[in-house]
Amino acid sequence: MKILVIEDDQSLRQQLASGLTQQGYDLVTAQDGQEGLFVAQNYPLDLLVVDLGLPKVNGLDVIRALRKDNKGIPILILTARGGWKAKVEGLEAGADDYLEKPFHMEELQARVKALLRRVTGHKNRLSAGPLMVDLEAQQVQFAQQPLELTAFEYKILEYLMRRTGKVVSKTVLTDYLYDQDFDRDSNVIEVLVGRLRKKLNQNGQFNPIQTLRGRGYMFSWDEPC
Amino acid sequence: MLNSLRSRLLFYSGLLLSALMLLLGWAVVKLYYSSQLNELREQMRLHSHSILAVAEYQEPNHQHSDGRVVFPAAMAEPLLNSPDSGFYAQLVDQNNRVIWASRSAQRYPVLGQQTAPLGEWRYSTATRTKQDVSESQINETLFVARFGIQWQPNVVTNLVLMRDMGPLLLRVEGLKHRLWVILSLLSAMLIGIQLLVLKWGMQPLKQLAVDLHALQQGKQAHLLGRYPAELKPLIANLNHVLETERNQRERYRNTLSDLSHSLKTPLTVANGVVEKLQPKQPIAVQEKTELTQQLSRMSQIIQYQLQRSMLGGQSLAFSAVPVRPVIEAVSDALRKVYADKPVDIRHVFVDACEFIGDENDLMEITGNLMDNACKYGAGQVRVTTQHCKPKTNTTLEDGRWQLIVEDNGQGIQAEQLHTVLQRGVRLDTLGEQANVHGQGLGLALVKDIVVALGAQISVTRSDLGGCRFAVTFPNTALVKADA
Repeated sequence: MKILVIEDDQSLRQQLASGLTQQGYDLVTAQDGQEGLFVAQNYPLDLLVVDLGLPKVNGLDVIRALRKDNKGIPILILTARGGWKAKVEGLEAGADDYLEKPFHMEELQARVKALLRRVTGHKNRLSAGPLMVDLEAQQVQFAQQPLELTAFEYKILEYLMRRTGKVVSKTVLTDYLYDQDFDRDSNVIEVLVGRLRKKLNQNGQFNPIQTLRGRGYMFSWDEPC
Repeated sequence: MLNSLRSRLLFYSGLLLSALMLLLGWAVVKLYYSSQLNELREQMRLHSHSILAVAEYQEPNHQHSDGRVVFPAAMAEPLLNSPDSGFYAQLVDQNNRVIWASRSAQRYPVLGQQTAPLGEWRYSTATRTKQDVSESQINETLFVARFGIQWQPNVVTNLVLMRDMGPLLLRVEGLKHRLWVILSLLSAMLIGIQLLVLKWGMQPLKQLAVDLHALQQGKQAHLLGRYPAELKPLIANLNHVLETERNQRERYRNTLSDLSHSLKTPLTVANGVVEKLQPKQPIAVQEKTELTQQLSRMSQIIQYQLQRSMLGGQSLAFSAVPVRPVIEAVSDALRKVYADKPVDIRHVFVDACEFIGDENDLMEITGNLMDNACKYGAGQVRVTTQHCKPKTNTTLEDGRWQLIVEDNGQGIQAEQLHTVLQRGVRLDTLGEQANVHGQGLGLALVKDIVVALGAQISVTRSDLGGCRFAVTFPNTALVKADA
């Protein structure tokens, strides 16, 4: 899961990144509202953590701009202004939850987890046929047997399964997996998807990841009648 | 009595008007009396001519060695011929002995002791007691005119003419009576006109009072009425003060907000740093615990004091905040926040209430109370707004209104009711709901705001099963401009 943290204070930004990375999330950070808005508008993300008091473009405007663009991504606001007016304004602008500073990292991690769970329909696990993914433990089972995946393979599988039936372009997948300066022309995504397919299709009958030429990949699996 | 400007103006102008009327009355009577006397003097002169015209001086002879003045038995003026007619004539010598007296003046003493020199008049008044027809004693006031005449060389005699002043005095009294009636009517009319003028003149002040009331009620941000030139500088200054106060409040709020941001972000970082510490020695573990506790204390103090300083303040002009949209906005926000624990928030808007004050204060009260209800309730929250009605008459509103927030949680034990509004008290830490986050500041803040606003808060048990917080807001709507 990819999370964007927009926080102007460098120390806190690093702490947030560190605390969330520990939980297995992929982190992208931005130090001001303008940069954060650009990243949120142009890269696939699963969650946004936004400080309200940001330079250049304030947090509320970032949220409003994203909601205006129909970005349904869950947003958690961090606010140092303790009053309810700021919280209500933030939630009215389109945020989904708030956390008041100062907070403990555990509290943030719990809120992030709850928000992501809310998006995935309160599921702790995803399944398709013999495949089952435990989102909490980040473990995969195939036919009730543990399946060893690398971190990248796991991320691709989780990302595609969360978007079952939807086309995910190679660019989106690349942006999700790698930093912005990653060479987009390389065929590493094809290699990773190929390896993942091979691991999933052990019995030669389970191939839920389809390649749509020129468009990307799609996870789909119909239970046999 | 003299508390109002209008009463003062009326009292002092009434006083002045009364004094003026008295002076006017006195002056008119005096002038009339004076003119009547002048007329009387003129009449006396004319009568003196007619009397002296018929007088005949007889040279001294053997019977009268000094000579004598002879008058006809009857005078041309009939009044001189009837006793007690009111007009009398005498001729007196240098020693005030009567030489001649008209028939009307028989047995009359000589009045007016001041002898008139030759060719001159001397006027005076005198009072004589006489018997009227019923033989009772009455006082007769006489106007006495003496004229100096010389019949013989070196002998000046005085012609004394006396006129009863009764009719004149009666006329003066009549005038006085009529005058006081007229002046009283005139005064009443003037006071009436003055009342109208005052009403008209005070209209701008009345308008100012109405505008100020509207300002206090938050129905307008400035004094907008059209005022006369004399009041315009005052209005301009008042508007300036209001604007300055509003800006200062905004600046104050922004500064505190910035301060809050500046303090809380480093505190969050400090929290994070401490959390990351992994002490191996027992002493270091103790130090970490101590550090965590101190940071937590600092956080609480900063949060409470900063928020407290921003809320519940008084202002020259507040706005009238409709309560319903605020409750709806807070409810929408809370439904998002508690999406994982679906909360059924129901509104019972019995009356459309308005909060006179700062919207932040209302939002803080509703936000904290409703957040607690969502947090500690079992999924059901009811928010009611209603006007207060006296117990004796349920149809009469007394201007106060209530915000009631109820939940269906476990409620508060009777012995804890008095502590629930104290700062830093978290009842959840005492019981089973220790997993519910919060710092126990919300209710204390609500209480502080409520006290600052002159409102009242009570905690009881709700029929839903949980807590029932009722905030009764003061009767601001009835503070009407009394102009």
